[in-house]
Amino acid sequence: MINKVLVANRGEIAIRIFQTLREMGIESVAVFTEADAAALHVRSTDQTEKIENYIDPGEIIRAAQKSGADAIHPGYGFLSESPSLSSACESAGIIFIGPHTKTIQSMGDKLESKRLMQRAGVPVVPTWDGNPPESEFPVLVKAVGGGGGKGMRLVDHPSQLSEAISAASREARNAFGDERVFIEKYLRSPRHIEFQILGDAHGEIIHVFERECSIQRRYQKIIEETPSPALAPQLRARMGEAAVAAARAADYVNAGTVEFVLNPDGHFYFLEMNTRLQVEHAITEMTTGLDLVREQILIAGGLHLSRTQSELQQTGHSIECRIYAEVPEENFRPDTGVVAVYRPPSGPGIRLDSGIQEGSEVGFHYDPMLAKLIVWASSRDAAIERMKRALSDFVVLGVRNNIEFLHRVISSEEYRTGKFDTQFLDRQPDLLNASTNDIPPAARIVASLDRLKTTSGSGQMFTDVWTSGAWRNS
Amino acid sequence: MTDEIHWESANHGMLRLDGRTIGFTIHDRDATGGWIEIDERVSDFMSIESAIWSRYGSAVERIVWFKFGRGRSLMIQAKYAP
Repeated sequence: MINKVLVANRGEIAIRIFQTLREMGIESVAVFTEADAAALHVRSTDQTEKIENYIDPGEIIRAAQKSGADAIHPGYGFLSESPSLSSACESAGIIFIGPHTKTIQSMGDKLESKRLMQRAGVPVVPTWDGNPPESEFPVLVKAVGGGGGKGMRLVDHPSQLSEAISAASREARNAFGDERVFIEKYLRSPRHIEFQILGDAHGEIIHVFERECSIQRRYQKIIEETPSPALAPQLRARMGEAAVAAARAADYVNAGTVEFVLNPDGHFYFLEMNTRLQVEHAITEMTTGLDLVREQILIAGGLHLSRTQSELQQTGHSIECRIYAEVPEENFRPDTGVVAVYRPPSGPGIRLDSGIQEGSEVGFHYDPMLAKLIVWASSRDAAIERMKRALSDFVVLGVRNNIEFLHRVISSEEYRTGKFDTQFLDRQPDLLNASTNDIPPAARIVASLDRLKTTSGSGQMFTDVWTSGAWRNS
Repeated sequence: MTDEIHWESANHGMLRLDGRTIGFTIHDRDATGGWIEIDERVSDFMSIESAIWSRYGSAVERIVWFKFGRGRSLMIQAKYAP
């Protein structure tokens, strides 16, 4: 029985976990750093503990002991996939709400995890320890110890391989403290599709269907949806079975995600396993009715899974957009500032998992994700229209953000057809820049309020005018 | 397209656009927004202003969120010399 949970995280995911804890009658403890003293997650909990940083397992354990927490939820990022926190919990007699340390270790090693999956009969992308045959180029050099595009290089020709390995190793050492890299077959234009899995301590493992994560910028997901428009029922069933086999091979307990790449020819390959709750878990919740955080807590408490595979079904369609404090028109550079105006969307089928409010300061210390906007509707087309409406209603002023960029992506014809892959943005660079030519006259009136008494010609109204990111000298 | 805006009071003015003269009125203004009525249409807006500095000197930056049409909105960033 879990009575009090310390959430070793911040922002929207900490708040999201607090919400379920409250519903379950479990007390919550927030941790916060100096930079986060006024953050929203600190005010959304029962108890707080100040720490120096979010990535010191010793500090997290001390905070849990001081607060009397009997369990720790790591959220995502920070220490969520570090075996150091789960093993420290085991040593301290604190329940870690996540998989066993040995599972985190084996899945954190991208090469070892692929070998494990291969032995379990799960299809994996071909990899090489040494030089691949020339016919296999292009290839990817990837870091053994992590992901997210860090320590990764695309190599078109064997002559470039040695230099790419050196560069990727250096980057991997800096990012993950592990310079090991491996070489993987490069798949052109794959889709990125992941399966949510749940496993309990009694050996039951189920999958909770897929999430389509192909819309990415710089190897980071920005829009996710479920069901995937690419999966027919038969392929979904095959991939689901492979995901469960992968989880079984890893002795998986708690919530996790099996990531696959899907080739245009219909073949799919294991990419990696994420041993944590995913950022995009909410779309699975919207289409299945499950509360995945609740499932995690019940599993960590030793209970059986609340549903069997045959009891689960997907209903309707859900899309998530990640709202970042960044400027897509300037190569996605992060922005900082104080949120002066914050007016979130509302209405049927809309969920907002947010870590900010009006007055929040968005700094450079942490990830620039502000919120996750999630919609549900009975069909994909209806979900797209709902997301367009929600994005157009969403006002965040004071820190530049990607809301309009997301609207352009969601409104694009290629997105609507559902026939896209991870190269989506590379093929559509125009989506990065908004037109400055279609500013309605009424908008120009509003922009000139109190500033100009009489103006003539759109070019003479302002010193500069900018829409959605790009300055235009006028 | 060329247009001309003439403010008759703080919240009311005339827009000359494509040979037509259209009245407009700003409603419910407060520090961060309001709505504009023009040509039998209404649009919601919110805005903030801040001082900015660059190597070219200082300016006032106004960022406006403006909602128009069916399910569309846009952001305008306007800079004014002080």
